[in-house]
Amino acid sequence: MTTHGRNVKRMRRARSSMVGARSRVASFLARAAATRIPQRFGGLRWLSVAAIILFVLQSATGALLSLYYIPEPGAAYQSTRFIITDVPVGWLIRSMHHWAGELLLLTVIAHLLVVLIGRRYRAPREYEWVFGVLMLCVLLVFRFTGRLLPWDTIGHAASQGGLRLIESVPVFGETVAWWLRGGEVLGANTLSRFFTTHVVLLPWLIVALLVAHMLLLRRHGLSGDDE
Amino acid sequence: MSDTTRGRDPSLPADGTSWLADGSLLLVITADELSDADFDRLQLAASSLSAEVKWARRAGRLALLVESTPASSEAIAALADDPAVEYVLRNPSREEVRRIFSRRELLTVALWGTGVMAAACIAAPIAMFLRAPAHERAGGEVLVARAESIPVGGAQSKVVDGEDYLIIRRTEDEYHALTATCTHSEVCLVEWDEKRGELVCPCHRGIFDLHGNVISGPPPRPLERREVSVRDGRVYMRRSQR
Repeated sequence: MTTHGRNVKRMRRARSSMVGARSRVASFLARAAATRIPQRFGGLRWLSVAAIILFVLQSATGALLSLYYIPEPGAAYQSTRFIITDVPVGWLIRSMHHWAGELLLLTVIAHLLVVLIGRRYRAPREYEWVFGVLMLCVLLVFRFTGRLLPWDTIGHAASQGGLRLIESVPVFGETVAWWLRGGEVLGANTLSRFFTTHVVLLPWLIVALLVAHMLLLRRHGLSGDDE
Repeated sequence: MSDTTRGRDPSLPADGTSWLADGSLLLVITADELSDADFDRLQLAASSLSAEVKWARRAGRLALLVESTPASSEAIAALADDPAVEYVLRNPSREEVRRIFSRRELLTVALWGTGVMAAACIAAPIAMFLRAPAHERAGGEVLVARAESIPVGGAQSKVVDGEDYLIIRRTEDEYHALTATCTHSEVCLVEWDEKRGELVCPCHRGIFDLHGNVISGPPPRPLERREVSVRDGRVYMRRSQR
């Protein structure tokens, strides 16, 4: 039996299984497993897979860090130090979250460049491209808001700089900066806002974009099928 | 890629060449019931043949593939009558041989084993991380300093839970921890005066002793003391119960 045949069989079995009979989850997963990948899946396409793996890693380490982190000016720095020095393997989890974040950003930029150079953004995949670029923007905001959370000098300075950049935008720059900062000066309000954005708003947003990106990709197939 | 070339045992004849010679046998023996004597006899019989013999053990069974040669066809036929043999396939098909000699079972176990080990490697640090540090579990203690960072007679300030504290090292092993915010004017932080052995508020000359009691000056209340313990050169302070 060929691999494809086996997958088709697996798909039928999934449909008749307990979960499969009551929802479309199992059959969706089985169908995903049965998807044929173009023979030319190679080159730098692993970048997209690497980005997803890094994203999962970020979600997991981020959730772990949030167990000990306290988003309050008096305690933020303290709790970050506590994670690094006192919590077992806390140093590892924090470093992973830091470096995987940087790597994720680089990976996504590289992935977008490869798609751009390979002209794989063309019809019918324009919206995959749009969602991809939006995800890059979300990642940048992730990085901006996350950098303030340790509440150290560098984070503070980076956020000050970023907010000053926003302020310099004509007409509504100052209003937006005020709104982001939660007041006149960078303080407790800013920390709360950045924290909520980093751990609540952006995760939902990027997951939604990722799901849209992947569903469209499934509908259109990986480029290479039609070439 | 078609299945006939996939996962094929390299010792079996390649496609296009003739399959096993006529009279070849696939012997299946229940290994669990096989005595040492039976095994020795079978092994001797198989090795004395001038024929290609392949052994495999699978799911509690022992299998022997004997490819017939003109010189030993009779001896091979005799092997089939051995009492230990459960059943015999004469001239087995390629599919039957492959089923017995497949490495799928081994690979499945290896794959699951690797997967379980990888999962354990991920789960172990997460479990460690979730277990809060020992002193946190012991009851609200927090690491405030390393012993070597405070000179004997000196003090170090530390913010815990948003509150300022002074960690004072009186002698080699004697530590005190007090709230550093003056009870008089709460914008001032008291300082440790090593020579007098007192805490002094620089704002209005409020003076406290090592127990936090007010000695002189305007402060209305004593400073709060916290319990200190030293383990492995690390100074821990009990958190306030509030």
